Amino acid sequence: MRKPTHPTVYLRLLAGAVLPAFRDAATLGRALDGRPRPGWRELLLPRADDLQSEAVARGHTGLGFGMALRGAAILAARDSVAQAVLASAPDGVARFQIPEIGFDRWLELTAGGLRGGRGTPPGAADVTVCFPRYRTALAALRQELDTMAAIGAGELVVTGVIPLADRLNVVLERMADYFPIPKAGPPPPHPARQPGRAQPERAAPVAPSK
Amino acid sequence: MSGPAEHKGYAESRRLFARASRVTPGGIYGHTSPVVAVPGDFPYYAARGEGGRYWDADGNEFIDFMCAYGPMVLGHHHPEVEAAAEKQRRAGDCFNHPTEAMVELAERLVALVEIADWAVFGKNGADMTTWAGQVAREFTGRKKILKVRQGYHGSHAWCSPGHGGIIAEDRAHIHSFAWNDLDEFRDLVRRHRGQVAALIASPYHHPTFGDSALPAPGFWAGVQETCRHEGIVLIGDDVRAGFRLHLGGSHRHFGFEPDLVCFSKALGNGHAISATLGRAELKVAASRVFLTGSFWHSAVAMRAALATLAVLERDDGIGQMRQTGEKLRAGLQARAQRHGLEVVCSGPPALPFMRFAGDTDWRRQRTFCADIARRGVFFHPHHNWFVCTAHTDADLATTFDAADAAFAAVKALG
Repeated sequence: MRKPTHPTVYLRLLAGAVLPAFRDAATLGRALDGRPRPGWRELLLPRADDLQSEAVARGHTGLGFGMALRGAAILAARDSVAQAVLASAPDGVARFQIPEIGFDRWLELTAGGLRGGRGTPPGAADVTVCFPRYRTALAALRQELDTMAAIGAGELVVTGVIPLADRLNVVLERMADYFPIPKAGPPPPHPARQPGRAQPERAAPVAPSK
Repeated sequence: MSGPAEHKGYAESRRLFARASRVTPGGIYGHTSPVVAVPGDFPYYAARGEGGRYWDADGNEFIDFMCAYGPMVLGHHHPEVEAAAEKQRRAGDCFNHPTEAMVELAERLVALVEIADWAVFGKNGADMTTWAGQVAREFTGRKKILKVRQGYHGSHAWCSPGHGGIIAEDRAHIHSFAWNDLDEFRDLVRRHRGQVAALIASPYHHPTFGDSALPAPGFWAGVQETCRHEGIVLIGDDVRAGFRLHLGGSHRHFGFEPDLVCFSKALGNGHAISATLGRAELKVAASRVFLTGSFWHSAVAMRAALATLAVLERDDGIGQMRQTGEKLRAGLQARAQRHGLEVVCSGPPALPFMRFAGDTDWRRQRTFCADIARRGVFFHPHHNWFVCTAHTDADLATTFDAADAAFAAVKALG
């Protein structure tokens, strides 16, 4: 559900999280070997076609998560919705890892305030959020991931103080209220429910369901 | 009972989960979601239960110390409860009217629970906690409801621990204070004087990812005194602990007197039923607050509840569970000590919990619970456990043997 945003918070996020990501995207674009080399637009605001490129998809995933984590600290300090969520979160250190792309960062929550950094956190992580495959992280970034199902299937591994990860996730998702990710349109009507159409053939179920 | 060599793995659970994830958001949602247990190292789907044990979809057998998160107070498939339910099922369950079973159950509960002059029924705890809040609002003409921080009262918007689909207005009149913090409670009452309709709290605090906390000396007496003085309706949420600590309600165990008390879980030994009981003064207000559901008058669940209460009373089920819980706690502590591990035990014996001291990321806890599950004992890593009357000394002995090995696995973590 979209929640109200605040212009001053928007400006701080722009200055503190989004603009640095543009700088990082430019650096990353120059460093990547892709032909043609991706620019900041492909890396930060990729179209669906852009994400077919491994280089763009990997770069976008790292930059997007980096931007969200930087933004989380700003939201914790400035945004009332994030503050309300974090008020019910236990203090602690959360580590975020996407090994396939070398992403390893942390956030530390102390009395409602967040600070973050790269690499090994200042103390032992109370919770670790690890995406074994970066494509899963990309889906999460684009809000296309059923997180609960992914955890149950082992595609997303959350170990430790789950309530801390849960609340931080809400704050990370809050970024999308300020900087909405273009969503695909509504799904087409189910073929079986379109009037006047024959029932399509369906694949046999894996096992009898009844 | 399955030993370690007989553990069959969780392939079928995972296969079902993969199918479910295609057709159900989250695959499994809510409190039984793998997310809050040990994903990948725990059963996801159950197949059947008998007494103090259940079998998962892979055929693994477990001594069940979660009891379906509370409902199975007499154990799975209790013969007397099921016979009563089956007899009613043959006569019919869902009618145009309630049945005599509803009258009998209300009379039985009112007789059991001293503060109660009337009873109503639903299906789940949240049906009742939400409705009880409405009754308090109707009775007092006030808006605000006070609750304990991290206190769980169900999945409805005013109290859900989730975030999705919640708007600020849902909780605009809900205010929280820390468990056992009488000063913070009284401060909230002062700040909202004349606006507080109700205080809702469980008889003791049982948060997930934390120790259970019993009421501090004087806490309930102070809460009750303030509620009486300020005209605040005191709602006891006995959904989780009800009929495990005292047959007359857990408030009797802890020595306080709510105005409304909500039960569910253990009431029907697995049959879906919940109840709110209240004082005579609140009966008219209660009659004004609309309450219904398509299946809320189900006679089968009411017959099951009557049978459950009868067995609990006849067999001193409360005493049995206390003794079993005390033995469980002592046995686990002794085994942990043998391995040089410090554990923290909390909660009443019938709803025990154990965790490892200093285990801030819960790694030892998850290792212990996953390992002992492979050895045929089901403990939840992050949620209080439940004892039932069907647990035997033999079950405990098996549990302690399995715990020995699981503690060794924890010790090996370093």
